[in-house]
Amino acid sequence: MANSGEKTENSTPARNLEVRDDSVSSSGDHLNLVNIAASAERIVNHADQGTNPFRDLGTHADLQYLYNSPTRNQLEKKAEVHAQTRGSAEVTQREYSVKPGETPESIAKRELGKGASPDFVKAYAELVFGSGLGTDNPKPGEKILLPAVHKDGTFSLVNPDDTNQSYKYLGNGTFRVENSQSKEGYIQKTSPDGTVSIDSWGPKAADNCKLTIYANGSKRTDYKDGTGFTQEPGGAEKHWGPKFEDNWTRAPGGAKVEKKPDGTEVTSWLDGSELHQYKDGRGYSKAADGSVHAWGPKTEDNYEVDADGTKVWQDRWGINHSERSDGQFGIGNQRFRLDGALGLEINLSDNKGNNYQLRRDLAIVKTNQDGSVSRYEKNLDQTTTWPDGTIKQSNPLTGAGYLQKPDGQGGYVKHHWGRNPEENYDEKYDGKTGITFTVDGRGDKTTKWPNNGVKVERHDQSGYVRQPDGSEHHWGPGEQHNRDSTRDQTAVAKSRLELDKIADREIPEKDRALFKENLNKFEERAKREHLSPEEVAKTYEQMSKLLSARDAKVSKADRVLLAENFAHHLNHDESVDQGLHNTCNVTTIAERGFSRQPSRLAEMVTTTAIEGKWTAADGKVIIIDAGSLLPRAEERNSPPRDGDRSYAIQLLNVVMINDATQRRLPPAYYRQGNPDPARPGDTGERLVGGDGKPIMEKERYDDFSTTPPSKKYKDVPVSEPTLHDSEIHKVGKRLYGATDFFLTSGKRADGDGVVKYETQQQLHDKLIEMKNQHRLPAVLGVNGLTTPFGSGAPGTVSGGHVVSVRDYDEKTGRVRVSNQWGSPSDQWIDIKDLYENSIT
Amino acid sequence: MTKEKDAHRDVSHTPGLMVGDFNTLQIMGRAETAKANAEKFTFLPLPAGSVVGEISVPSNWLRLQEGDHTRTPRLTLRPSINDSTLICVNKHRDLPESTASNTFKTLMARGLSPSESKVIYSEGAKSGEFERKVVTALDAVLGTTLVGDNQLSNPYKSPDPRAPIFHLEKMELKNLNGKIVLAVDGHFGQVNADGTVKTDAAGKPMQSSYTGVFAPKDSRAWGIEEIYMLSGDKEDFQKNKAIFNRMLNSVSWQHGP
Repeated sequence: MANSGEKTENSTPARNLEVRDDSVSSSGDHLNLVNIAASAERIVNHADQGTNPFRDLGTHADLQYLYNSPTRNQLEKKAEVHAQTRGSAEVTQREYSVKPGETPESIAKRELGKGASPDFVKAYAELVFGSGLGTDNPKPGEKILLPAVHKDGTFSLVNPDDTNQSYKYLGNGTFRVENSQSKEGYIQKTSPDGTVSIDSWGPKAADNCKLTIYANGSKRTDYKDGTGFTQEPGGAEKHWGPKFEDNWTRAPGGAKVEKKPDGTEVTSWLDGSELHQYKDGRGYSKAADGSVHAWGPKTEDNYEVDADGTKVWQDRWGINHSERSDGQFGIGNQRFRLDGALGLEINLSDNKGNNYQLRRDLAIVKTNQDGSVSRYEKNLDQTTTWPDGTIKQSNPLTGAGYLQKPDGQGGYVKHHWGRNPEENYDEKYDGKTGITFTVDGRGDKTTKWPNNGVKVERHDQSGYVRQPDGSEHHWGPGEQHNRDSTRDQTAVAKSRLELDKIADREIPEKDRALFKENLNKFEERAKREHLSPEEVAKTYEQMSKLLSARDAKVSKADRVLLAENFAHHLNHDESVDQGLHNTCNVTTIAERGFSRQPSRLAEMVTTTAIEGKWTAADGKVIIIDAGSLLPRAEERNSPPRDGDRSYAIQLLNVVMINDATQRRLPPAYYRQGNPDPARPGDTGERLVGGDGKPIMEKERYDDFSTTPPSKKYKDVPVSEPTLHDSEIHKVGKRLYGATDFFLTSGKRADGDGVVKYETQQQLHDKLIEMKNQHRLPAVLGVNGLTTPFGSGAPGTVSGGHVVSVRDYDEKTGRVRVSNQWGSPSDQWIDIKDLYENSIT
Repeated sequence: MTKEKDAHRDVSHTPGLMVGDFNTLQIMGRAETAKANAEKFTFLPLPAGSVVGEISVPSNWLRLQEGDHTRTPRLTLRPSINDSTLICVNKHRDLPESTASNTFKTLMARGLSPSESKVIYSEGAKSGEFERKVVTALDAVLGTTLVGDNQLSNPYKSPDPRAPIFHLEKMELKNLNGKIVLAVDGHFGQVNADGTVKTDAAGKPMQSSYTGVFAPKDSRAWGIEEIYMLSGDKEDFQKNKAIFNRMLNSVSWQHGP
């Protein structure tokens, strides 16, 4: 029952009354209550309702209803009883029928007596007729309710709606309105200058305040807790109080202005719109519909948020970005989703007309005006390729770089620079002969032939020649320089003899002949492909160790299987398959090893089988769980079936993947177990954390219980290695020391360290170079879901896969690809088809 | 074939099981059959390269994401996300010409009329080395690491971790909508998320019932598609078998028989 101000908005609950038919008011059988109601309705609805002491009587329609039901007699009786209980009435509250010629003033004077002062008369008329003197005269016969007049001259009226509520005039322009039940009330006094003061009380803190309404319409409200506010006729408000948040102002237009302790100024309007201004120059405005306009000194401070929640901003290059609340986002004119359907590249152009591509590995590729393409890597490598094949690479961080220019005949000249002496050299490659010639900053010259022969001529007049068979001839000014070393087949023969003896003892007779046949064929391949005798001998030494170990993590029978599998791959290095596992990534690394450096793989397999762990070249110890060392259903065959994974490849897969995942932060451990039949497509592969618990991911499914069907996700264990390009590359680099064996389209790349190409010509050039420099097989990133590898049409779907490139026929333009899916997948592929597959 | 247009066709009117139809209608209760016939089904076209051209599936079952690996795309359906029952149309990787494919090719060459079947192996019935060899030879067709890893092809015995993960109960050749398929019944051992064997309160290994068919893409039997139902609850398995059989009967093959 407090009077006004924001604090009181909820203190007098609005009545929820049904709308009644006003026509009943035309009936002559009404009390003046109806007239009171008519005025009360007007007053209640008026903005100035705080000054109306009768506002709690309700609306016109409300009071009409009250009059008609319950019955008039009941109401009157209640009023009379109430008045009588007060015990001071000289004239009781009663119904009265207006007589002809009577006015509000004449009725007031008659009821109050001749000695009634003018302010009593005025107040009486105001209580009875709502708006006091000057009101239209009531119609004759109209029923009105007359207040009780007390002996002291005051008069009062009991609300027929709530007999606990009374209105009493005390004289001197003062009314007392109270509710005996709710203990609420107020005294309203009108001064001669027109100032109205209202002192309220009640059980709630907000009920106890003083409202002063000045003649000019301004108001002041003071609460007992020290808070208060003033309201000006134009709507301006000033609030105060002991707390910081109590002190704010509202502008004349209705805006609320708050100052925060940090200097932030917040302006809010009644329609819900807001303005936030920070001391540092940032700010934002929020419209009633929720849309936001933000500004500030930094690029990221400036953005818009549409009413639907879409955030729109422009980056420093003038490119528009958008981000929707449902996860969709846009760059330039492109739209993307973050639910796995993210495109491989984002094309955009700046406001100067330059074209950019943001690649999935976060590299930025810029197409320049002269047709050259510049690529900016995360590691700050900057590579620019011109249409004529010229390539320039530099890195401001390392200071190293090179400029390579084609010679127009399939070769190139290349100038390298850097901060270290060995980084400064020139290189010339003859595309016709396959000979590579380099000279460094000290004058040391190196010539490499495609048959693996090498000649080194040092600036101190020393040097050597290494023949493809490994034999070397050294010369120089000093005696120690002049020597010959013959790397003949002695070491091979010796190590083979030892291995044969062990095989005769350990390998079952039925398998022995095939085992030895594989070794014979391997030695022939080693000579044919210029594998050094040392490489062959080291391989045999490891295999002997594998078969003869007395105490090992892997059982003797399984080590025999391992050795037989290994011998099979030494002979058939192109038939290295991943089987039913997601391990194409490192199976290609293994295929390269069987082709070029089998001794490294032999050491990995042997050490792991004996010790259950393996130590990488950098000293990192890779732990393998016992379950992963067991040959599974697919890996128990000797020789391995076409397309199946062999036990040897299983172990190599497990070690190589762990060599990547155990280096992550936090480390993840890759394990091979049996597949879970309840998870269709499961391969039994798991990634677990340091606590041994499976690492989980989200699997998407369509829920048809909703309309439309909704995409939902379920937690499932990660069941694949999840290796990135850079991790695959590093595994190979640590194992073989090679750095340039992994080729991938720059559009597909998702990591650094790999050799990236942009055009079919660049892929062609790189394959020619690798073939001529005897560096094949290469690992190539492709799309496994589309032709020629999958059944999908080019460009329709994207599926990461890698294959081994074994050869390239420049004349026919066909590339020999060894896929890890078995011999039907190994094929010659037109370089155009391969390129187009690899960029999608 | 206008598959796209029919992709979401309501096929609640599709006839249900018919007497003499494929599989074990006679062992199912009438109530389950009636429920299956009342279930609303939707036609789904499968991707090019699949042996199955179209199949109708329960409209309200959840569909899980197809495999993201090129060789084994699949469609998986479950009544609800945590239900132990699933039905899967699973494309196996393409096989090279092999003992398995040649064995299947030989079996297919036998020919079967629509109502005829030929039992290859049945648990409890007398079987010998020949049956074992045939089943073993088919392991790659059945999936080397799943149904193909069974008690006939894998000599290890539990609790050796290399023991077979599938127990074969019955294998027979049948004619399904004009194509000769291998029908298999049996059960898998259940495994936990970390790959260990799942046991019940009494420490007994838990099992999942399995029924499925293996259909060759063509007469070379290099491409195999598996349509199967698996359930960790025997009652659910029986209850949903009618729905599974209704799915099987709706299959139209992508390529000729």
